[in-house]
Amino acid sequence: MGFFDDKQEWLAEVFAQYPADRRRSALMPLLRRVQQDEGYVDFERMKEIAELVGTTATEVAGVMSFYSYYQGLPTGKYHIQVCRTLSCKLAGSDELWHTLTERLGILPGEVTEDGRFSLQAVECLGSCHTGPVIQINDEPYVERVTKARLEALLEGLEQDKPLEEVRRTLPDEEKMGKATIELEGEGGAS
Amino acid sequence: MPKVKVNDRVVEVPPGTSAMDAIFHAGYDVPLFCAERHLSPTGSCRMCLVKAGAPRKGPDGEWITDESGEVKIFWFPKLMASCTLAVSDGMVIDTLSDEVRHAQSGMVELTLANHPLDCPTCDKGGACDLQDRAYEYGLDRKFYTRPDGEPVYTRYAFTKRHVDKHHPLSEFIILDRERCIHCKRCVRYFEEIPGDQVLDFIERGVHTFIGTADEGLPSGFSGNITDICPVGALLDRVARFRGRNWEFEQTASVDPSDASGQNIWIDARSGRLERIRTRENPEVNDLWISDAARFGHEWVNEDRLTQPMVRKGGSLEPATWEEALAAMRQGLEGVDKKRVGIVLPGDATIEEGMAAAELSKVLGSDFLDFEGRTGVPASNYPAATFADLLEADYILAVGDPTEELPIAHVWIHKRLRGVKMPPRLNHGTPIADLSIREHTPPDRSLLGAFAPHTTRVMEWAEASGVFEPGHAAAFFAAFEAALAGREPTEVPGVDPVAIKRAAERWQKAEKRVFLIGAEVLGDVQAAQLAERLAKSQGAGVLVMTPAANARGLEAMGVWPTGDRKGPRAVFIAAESAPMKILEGTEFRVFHATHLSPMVARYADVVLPAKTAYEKRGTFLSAENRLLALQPAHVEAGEAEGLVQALHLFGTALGLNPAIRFVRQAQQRFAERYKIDLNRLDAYGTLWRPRVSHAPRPMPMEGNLYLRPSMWKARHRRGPTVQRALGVLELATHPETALAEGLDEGATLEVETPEGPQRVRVVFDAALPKGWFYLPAGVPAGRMPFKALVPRGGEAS
Amino acid sequence: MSEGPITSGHDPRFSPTLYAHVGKPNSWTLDYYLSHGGYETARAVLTGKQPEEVVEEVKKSGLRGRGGAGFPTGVKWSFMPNDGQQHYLICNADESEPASFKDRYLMEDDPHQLIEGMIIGGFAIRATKGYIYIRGEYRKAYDRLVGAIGEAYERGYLGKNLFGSGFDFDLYVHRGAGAYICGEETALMNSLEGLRANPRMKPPFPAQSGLYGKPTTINNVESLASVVHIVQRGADWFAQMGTERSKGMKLFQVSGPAKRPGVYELPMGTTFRELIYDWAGGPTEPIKAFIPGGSSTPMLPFTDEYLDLPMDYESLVAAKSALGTGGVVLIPESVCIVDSVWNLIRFYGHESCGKCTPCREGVSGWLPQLFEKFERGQATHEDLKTMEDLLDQIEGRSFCPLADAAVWPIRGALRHFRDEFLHHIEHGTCAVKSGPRWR
Repeated sequence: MGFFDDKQEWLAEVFAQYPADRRRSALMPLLRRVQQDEGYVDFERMKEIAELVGTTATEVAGVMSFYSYYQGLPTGKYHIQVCRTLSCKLAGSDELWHTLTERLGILPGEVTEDGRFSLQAVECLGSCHTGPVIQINDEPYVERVTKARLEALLEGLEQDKPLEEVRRTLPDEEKMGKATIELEGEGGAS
Repeated sequence: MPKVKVNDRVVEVPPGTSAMDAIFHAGYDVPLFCAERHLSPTGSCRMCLVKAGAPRKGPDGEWITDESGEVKIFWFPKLMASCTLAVSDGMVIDTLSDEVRHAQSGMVELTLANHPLDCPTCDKGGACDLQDRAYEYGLDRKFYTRPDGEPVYTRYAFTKRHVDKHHPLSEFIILDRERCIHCKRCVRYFEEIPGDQVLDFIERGVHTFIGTADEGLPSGFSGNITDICPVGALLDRVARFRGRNWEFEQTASVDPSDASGQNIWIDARSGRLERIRTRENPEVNDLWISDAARFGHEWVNEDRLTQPMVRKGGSLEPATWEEALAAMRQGLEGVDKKRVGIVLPGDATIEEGMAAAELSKVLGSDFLDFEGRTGVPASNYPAATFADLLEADYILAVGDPTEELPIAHVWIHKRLRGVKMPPRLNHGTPIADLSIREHTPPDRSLLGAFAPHTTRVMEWAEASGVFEPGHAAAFFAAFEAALAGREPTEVPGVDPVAIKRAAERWQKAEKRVFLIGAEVLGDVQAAQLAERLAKSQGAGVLVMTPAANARGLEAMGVWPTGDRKGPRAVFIAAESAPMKILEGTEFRVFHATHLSPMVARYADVVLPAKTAYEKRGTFLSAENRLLALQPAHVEAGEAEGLVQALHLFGTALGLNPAIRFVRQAQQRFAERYKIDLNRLDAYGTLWRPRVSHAPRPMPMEGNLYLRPSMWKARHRRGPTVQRALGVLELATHPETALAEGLDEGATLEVETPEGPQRVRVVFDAALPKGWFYLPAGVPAGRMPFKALVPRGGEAS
Repeated sequence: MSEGPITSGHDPRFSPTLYAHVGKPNSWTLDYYLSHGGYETARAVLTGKQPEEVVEEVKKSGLRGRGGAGFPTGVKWSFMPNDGQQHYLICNADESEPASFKDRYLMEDDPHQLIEGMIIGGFAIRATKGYIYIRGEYRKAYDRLVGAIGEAYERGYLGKNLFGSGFDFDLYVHRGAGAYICGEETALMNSLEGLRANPRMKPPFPAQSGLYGKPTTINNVESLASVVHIVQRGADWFAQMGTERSKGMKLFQVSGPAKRPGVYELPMGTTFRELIYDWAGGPTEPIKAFIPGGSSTPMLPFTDEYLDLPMDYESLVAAKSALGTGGVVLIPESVCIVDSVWNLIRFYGHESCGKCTPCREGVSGWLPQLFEKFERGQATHEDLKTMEDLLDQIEGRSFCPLADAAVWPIRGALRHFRDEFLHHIEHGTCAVKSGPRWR
């Protein structure tokens, strides 16, 4: 059975966003849907999408590999994307990354044995004032990932609590998601 | 027309011309990798940077001047890629200054940074744009010198990118990803020329590579990417490691596989035909040829007949030409000359056709025919040119252009994408034609496509339909009815809405081009309806004849008029001949390149023949265009041309035929038609002979439909072609297959005109029931379906 | 203080407008928006103005595109033909330039402001369809936008015959999937069409042949949100803020070690000093450099001379940098400049689309390797010369501005912190000793 066979209504909604003779525009939303539901996009799905939007698997592969969000290899239940660009780096994302790889015992492209985690270093996520930032799957960011917050986050996920619940109970979570963030008294390496 | 100043020369070019083409038009050079004739410019290689500026008009509409009163040139703040810069009146382009040269040499350095520089093992060596441009424009001592004064060639001291170096994209094409310089010509080519999105960039940045996810490349027009690749990244696998470019003897000729008249270079080395490349002819095939034309040449070198053979005591034995002549004399002694037949191959030249017609006339025989002849002569139709397709407001194809007249496929696609005939500049076709746009979808309203089986152009057609074989006449009757405003009469398999839609479009169009294939031409009634339609409605016709030179041979009078009883003795130069002739004659001389099963079984005398690649002569293509064939340097022992063989055959009959050499035929042609075949126009000469032949129906019986294919039987003798095409597909409606007890994927042997062939069953519910379709590589026709091994086939 | 243009956030005549509702409870709902005068500007425009009048007003205001390039928005709109074809308005919400995060909160906390701006913009350029191309990672902003659009449709603020004016406007959100190049407008259109996001050739310009080959205008989120207020309060109100050629208010961002990193809405021409010290609370550790306007803008030394620069387009060009998106990053004393720039060049290398030679081979291939050599302590003076040569070979010669964006931070670093590069060459190590930064 095809992935989209039972999603006809959803498909119709997506196609309705674009002119009728431009089905190809739905290529990215369709790839995203597969990525979200299955954790990666395999060759069969690429062919299915090609058929749906009226192009070839080659074109789908070309588009898919262009963007960093779509994965060609299976990912874990929680695909952790760590921002590594300058502002996050200044907030310690390099150390965060090393901690994560060691703690989980995996490198990009791998999944932990329990199938729970996979890792990807990504470029700027647009939350430079709250670095280091990580994004899990397609969910809203986890900001200001301090050592304490990371530990709480991983513990929560390891217990398979829902991500939203885990996030809500992270230390200082009430300060997050805001346009400015008060770090009075935190002081850096000075 | 805008005037442009290139360095010191002022030239006028059509509006919209790229700065690059203005530079070449002015006689200057600029380096390039990504721009290519007939493809959309992309400006990605950045090699063609120039300094450019233009005057501006003030609010008063006058040119703005500088302090000295001269028209002021406003220079672009950056160097511009000349391939994507359109000229404007008064533009000034500088290609020679240090700034420009410095930029170009810097770009060569970047282009070479990750290139492996493995020229010694690269087939492109000696014919490589990258080699030439790097040599001409690479790092200049003027700008880059080491402290010790020695020139610097590269400063890239890191490990080069290591990626897949021998990546077969198909049996025909191998990709070296390290050599690729990302010009994207091949990707643009596939999308814009044949219309297949089968090749694309994968990944991005420095990791970008060319790839396909569609399980190989579709064979049809894939080989052209090996010609346009500016480096050795995409190479012809058939010709791989067969010679250095400077060792090949290159012969300009014409492809003999079909009536397109595709211009080719034949590359031979040490007497072997090693490679075929495209030869640019902007009026016929641009830079493109079909895969069959390019890769279908391996048979030429394999198991050639190199000396005559004579049947002695039941078996064919090698003989000298004298012995062959003696055997022919003996065999033909006392035969009624009126009943001596001649069957020519479909790729016999005009000169050979003339020699055969002259001989036939002297014999007083009416049995003169050629392989792939159609029921109604192609010459009956008002010919259209490929260029006419670009002007057409509606194109109606009844048949399969992709397979029957491959290059028409490319022209149809160009028309649907809105491409115009490019202007001719001093350097030929514009290299960066700014009127061609990337990602232009085909305009489906311009095409109607109908055929007895699904065809590739149907994908682009607004109106299309598959009619049951034998119902071409019904299709035309329905189409006529629709044109007359009546409800179309029924055509088995075709939706009347499609016919009405096509008729509407046809009627509204001012310029129409009509393509008809073998199915129509074999059916006298359908062919006559098509002729009436074309003539009454003023449409140009591209007749997709199975024979490469049908129009030429018809013009020379090669057409049977004899009675049905057939000849008693026969000279056969064709690859296959009707059973009736083979079985009904007493003495058979074959002029053949190979000892085929047919020749081995039926020949009394065999004369070794030259292939069309080894001939001097002329074709009259589907466009009514005279095109010259030149002999390539292929070693074939004592093989002789058809004119010589016919002369010898005439001699054996006690005659002294007037034409003994090709040159004599050409002289006679010049006297008769005032055209010197040795001095044709550069892109061929259009010639419309007056021809009149009575229809001569072909037998069309049976439910095995031999559908046309660009891959002819002889191409399939080549090992690479065999591997590429795999087991032939026997397509049929599932119900028809199940009635025969055949499952999808089953393999079995079926009887074909070529003898038994192994085939694999594929289901296609779009096909009419009751039929089996086989791309047989012989002129379209049909025969009774006969499965040879076990009924029901073998499980796959 | 009450005379002349407003060039400081301390000027009592200035009050935040774009971010007036950011951070307020339920600010993203239609009810909240309506209770603060929402959609009244669009109503007035659609029922009482001609498209040309709107374009004129925006032109007069001097609003310059807030996506980074600073092209006048009204002028861009005036390129659109009046030809009866389908036109498109695209909102560029691909905010991907490192150090920029201002548009995010406009979408998360005040999505209706953007929708209203798009209705007005669509009306001005005669586009009945709009797309918001939002970077894929902005999940929360996406959810809020989709929710807001749904509410707007339900209550007649989107769809057919808006405010009884006869003007239709449909709005859709299209999510990106992780590609910086999509911020380039023609690449964005390719992405929206389901193609690889390579930039397109210009001409044809989007106003002639853009999305689906139709006349198209692409504006940044902040630009479109600003339009609402310009049209509502008049061009003069907008133009009284800022400097001679850089008008209005703008969203500035501060990241790096500051006490209150975040987004601050201030008049153009406010000094860096005011932004960093008065608004962002000052640094939390000694700073040696700052990036003035997003990662592609050349860094400047953290000295009085540069801190007192007014944040406007011209002053920064004069300082051999650029205002860009207004994203300021503070780079501490204890962090190696070579390492910081390597981080950015690796970013641009990762984001290079691979289409053109200088960017693919230079930005994506060669430069990051050269930096790695510096970091490993293996670089020579010759390598430094090669790097500078390479910058000349790349800058101004690529297909789109991405390669330039990669070159500029290196130029800035070499201009002001050359000694750190030399230290790497001569000592094989960073000039500073970095400690742990993760807390």
